Amino acid sequence: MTVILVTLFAFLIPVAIFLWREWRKNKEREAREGIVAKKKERVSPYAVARATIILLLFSVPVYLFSDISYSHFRPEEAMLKVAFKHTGQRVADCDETGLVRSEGERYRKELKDTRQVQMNIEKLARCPRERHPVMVELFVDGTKVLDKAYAPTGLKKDMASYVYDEFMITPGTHSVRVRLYNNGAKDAPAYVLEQSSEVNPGEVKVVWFNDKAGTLVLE
Amino acid sequence: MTEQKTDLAGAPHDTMRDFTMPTGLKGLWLRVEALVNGITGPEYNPFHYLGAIGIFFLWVILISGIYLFLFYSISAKGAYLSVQNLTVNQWYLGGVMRSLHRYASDALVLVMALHAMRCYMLDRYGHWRWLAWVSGIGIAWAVIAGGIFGYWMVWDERAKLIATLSAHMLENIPIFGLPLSLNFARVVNLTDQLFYIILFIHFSTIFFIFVLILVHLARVTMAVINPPRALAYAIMIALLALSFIKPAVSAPPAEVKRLAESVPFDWFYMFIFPLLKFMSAKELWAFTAAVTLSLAVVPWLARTKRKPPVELMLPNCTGCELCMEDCPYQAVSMRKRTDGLAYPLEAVISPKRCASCGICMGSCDYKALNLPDITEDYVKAEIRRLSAELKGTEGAAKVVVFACAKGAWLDGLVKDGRLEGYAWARVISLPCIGMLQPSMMTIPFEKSLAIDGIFVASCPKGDCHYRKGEEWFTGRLLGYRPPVLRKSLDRDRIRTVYLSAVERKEFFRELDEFRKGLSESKR
Repeated sequence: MTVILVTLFAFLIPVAIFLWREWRKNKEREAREGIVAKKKERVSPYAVARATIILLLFSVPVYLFSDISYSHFRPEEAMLKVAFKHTGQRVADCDETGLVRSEGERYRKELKDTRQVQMNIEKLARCPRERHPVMVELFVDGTKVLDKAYAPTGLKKDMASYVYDEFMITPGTHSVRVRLYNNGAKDAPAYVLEQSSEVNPGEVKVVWFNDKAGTLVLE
Repeated sequence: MTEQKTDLAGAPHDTMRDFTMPTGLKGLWLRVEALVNGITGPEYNPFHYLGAIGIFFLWVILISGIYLFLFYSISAKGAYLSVQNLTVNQWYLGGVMRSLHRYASDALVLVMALHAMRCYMLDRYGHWRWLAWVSGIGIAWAVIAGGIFGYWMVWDERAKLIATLSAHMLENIPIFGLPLSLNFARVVNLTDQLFYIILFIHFSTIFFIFVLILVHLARVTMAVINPPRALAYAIMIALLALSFIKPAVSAPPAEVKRLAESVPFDWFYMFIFPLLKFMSAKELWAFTAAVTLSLAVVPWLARTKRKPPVELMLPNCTGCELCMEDCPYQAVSMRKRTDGLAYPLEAVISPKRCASCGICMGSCDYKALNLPDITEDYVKAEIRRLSAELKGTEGAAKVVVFACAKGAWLDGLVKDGRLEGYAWARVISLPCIGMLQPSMMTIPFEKSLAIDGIFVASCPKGDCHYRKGEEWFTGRLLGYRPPVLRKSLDRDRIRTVYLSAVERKEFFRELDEFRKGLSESKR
């Protein structure tokens, strides 16, 4: 709240200063040039009434189009979403923590022995952190509807993959099979979900990954 | 009217520019405006202040928005309840503020659309106006984007639908890395952080709109940014009436486990989403980009040959700054004297910004400015020639008519300054009535010519095609804007009418009445 208020005022204050300076400049110019300040425009109630009639006509489309009902989905539709975040395995094994530890020990030892030592940053940087994309296969009633690889995020492709896809399905009982591969190959899935589920009209079912339990879940 | 004529040197005098008789939709548009003029008067005609009304709506949106923000809970769980609480328990103020916020936003889109259509219909988008046209498109998109994000904040079923659809669109932009839709997949995914971001985006659009408005008005002198007070009161009455007749309310609270059913849709902002039924998000982006680009290039596609810009006769310039103050497009600026004359300043013309309207000529009493195709000498010579011709005719009152080329349309009725069926009148047309110098108006009244009256047919008040021409002319006539018309001229012998191109009948009626008055006073 405070941050937003500060941001808002950070915008409003310069605008107010700008408007005030313009107003002052104008006043000074008027004083310098001897311009008599304009009399305040007198507002005639009849003028207001006549303008109101026209503006009420303008209001008609606003009245009509501000909330007309709209259905994006048909009532007999339902949706299946595959939505979760998952981290693929590393492309190459590299024990970064162990490397830092061993390099630290070497540094301390050499510092003690020679008093002239440099940390080998390059050696640490060479440790590849890239991860495999997460591949997901989804079968609904035995038909494959999704077979997609989700790239890892991050500049070095070392962060989680974000999986999101949605499918319109018909209400009724459906068997859902999900296979998740996280090691770059499709030889054996790392996680599998096979479940039958009753889907009601308008319902949204979600396949997600429970990190704590380490399982795929259909909810 | 005064068809293209040539002087002795053979240079054409294109006083009608490329204006054509407004027919079809353009004619209809002008007729509707004339009808509204009849009700509100041109001073309060909303069509003349569409841009200013739009800015007024922005103020209403900003003020009501700040009020709503004070009660808004920036959280996934609290957003809906806080808005609902304000709408129901504080209907007399919070609810009204919410309605004002919504209806001012809707009306803003409406006036922006009307503003753009009006500019198109009345050919006010080309050449020197391209920047205003292009930035106007930017403003429209910024407003629509801000409005869409505003609807997210309520977090009702409508918000859920447009959030999922707009998230789907956003994640289809190649530079957009993460799937935003993930946030709406499950209740636990919906974080307060998201609501902070949406609020920030919604707020920041006003900043972008402000910057774009500055660009929009960058080349416009004395832009009208506030509607007249009477109109402002009328707007508030209309908005409040809407707010009480149909208060803005929320749809049922968002439920992520279900598809959004039939929701109340604000078509002013959400018109784009139904297209997702017929095309993919990428196709919709391409379609939107194509439409935007097509609109943006309109000023170049419909371009006519530009008229030559005004020329400065530096030895005649006294550096009085009047031309700079009168130029509607900042095409005249002042700089330190470069020719050694004793005046501190001199005018400089920026040809790219010049609309060739001649308004600066009307403000210059020293023959320092001239349109190459309609010189001051030519206009004055025409006035003398036609007045002399008129003097030689028989009849009671004789009238010289100065007609704005964008005013009452007389094309086809005027030949060589003679008005068909009006032997007692001669017509001198000008691209803009602002070009009419007070010294030009004194010519017909010279003793040697002794014309009885001057009839000035201007374009409607507040609706000069070039901006400000009719206002500056009126100021010069009434003596509050230099150079002023000589005090000694009998104002009863001068009549000014403010008519649009479709008001030809009114022109003749007024002219006849004026002549009748002159004849009676002569007796």
